[in-house]
Amino acid sequence: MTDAMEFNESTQHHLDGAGTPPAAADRADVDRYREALAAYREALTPVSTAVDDGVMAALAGRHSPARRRAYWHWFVEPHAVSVRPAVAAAAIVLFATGLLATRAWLATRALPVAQPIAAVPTLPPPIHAPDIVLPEAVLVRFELHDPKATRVALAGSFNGWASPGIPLVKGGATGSWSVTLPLPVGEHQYGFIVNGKSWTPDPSAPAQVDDGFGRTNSVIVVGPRGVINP
Amino acid sequence: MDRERLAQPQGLGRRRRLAPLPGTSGGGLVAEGPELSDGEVVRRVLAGETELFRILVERCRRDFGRYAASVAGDPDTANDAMQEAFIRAYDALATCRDPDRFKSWFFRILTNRCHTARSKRRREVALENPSMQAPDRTEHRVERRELREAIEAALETLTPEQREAFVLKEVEGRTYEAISELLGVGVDALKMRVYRARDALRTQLRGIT
Repeated sequence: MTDAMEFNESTQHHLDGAGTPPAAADRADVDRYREALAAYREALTPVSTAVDDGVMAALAGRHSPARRRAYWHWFVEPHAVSVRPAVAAAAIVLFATGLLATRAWLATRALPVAQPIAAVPTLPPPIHAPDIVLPEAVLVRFELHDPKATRVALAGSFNGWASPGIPLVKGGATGSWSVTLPLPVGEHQYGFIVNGKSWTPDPSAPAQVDDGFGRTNSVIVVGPRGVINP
Repeated sequence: MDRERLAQPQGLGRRRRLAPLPGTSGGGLVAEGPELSDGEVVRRVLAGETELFRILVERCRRDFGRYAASVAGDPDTANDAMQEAFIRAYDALATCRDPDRFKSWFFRILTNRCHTARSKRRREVALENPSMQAPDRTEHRVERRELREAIEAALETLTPEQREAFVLKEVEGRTYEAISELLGVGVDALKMRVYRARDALRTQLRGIT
């Protein structure tokens, strides 16, 4: 082995799959490198397929992404226009007639004698409104630690308490369930539905409230910069 | 709390509801006739068929799921980062200038979310007790764990650009040409990033031999 920490260039090409053998001094490190990569790949857990449902549930009820574009893209994008020749000819004749009529009318008017301007009034400086941008929604992460649960969903005022709720994704072997939702600024009440039946308030919520039906709801207040803790 | 009242429509005007709610499965969307290209799907989502966004979610999660797990650092962080990336991509879909290259566009959003999540997680882990991890008992497992941790330690020393190139090439097994297409970076520059990452890993491995 060499003392240098850098692989020889021919070794780098070898690792790129060029078919050339690695430099003799690098062979032991190349084997170790490959072994480490294999161990790393083997232990890597890809993103859960449950994320698909979580994303679609989080997007349910949101505005179509095209709406935002419709406001201003219409003015900057090219548009194909179809015109009937007869209509175009009529429009040209109408425009020309209007132009001639306007010129004739202006010619009949006496031009006023120019008067010297005594003073130009000074206009007050324009007042600029502050650039206040309110976010449409704030991303809020909900989490419940329950290793024994087989499924966990979220229901609250933000989804009309709809059942079966928004599914949470289980994270690895930690027993932690989570989902991230875009919520509008304001107060929201919610709770978790564990295994499809057990209503569970969020133990980490800043406030809890009785719902009047014998259950407890958790309460959060979402501000423009995130959840506001009292 | 008056649930009956809350259950009423909340007067937010015309809203589109995404069809495939949890439990109802959106799998049928993918099987609709010949497979749609990413560009076609993006255009149809922008035209109002918002439920087709699930196709893009499935494709990107399949293609970048391992990448996200590697760059974010752990499965929980990766799940959150990918979910946030999809929500941001949906909101900004109209700004995707080349719908046929949606994956490259989404990849940038995902990478940014993963790097942010990784930094945040690193700060949180520093405050936790590292002895909470379950111990590996056999000698073989100890060695495998050490090798794995050497990669993770090496990833920490890399720049974000080196990290993403290394993961795509060495962990995902993509070709330099495919990575170049995805990142919009030249092959020579990518090779330099991967080479530097390999050197960093070699240094880490020397530390455990």
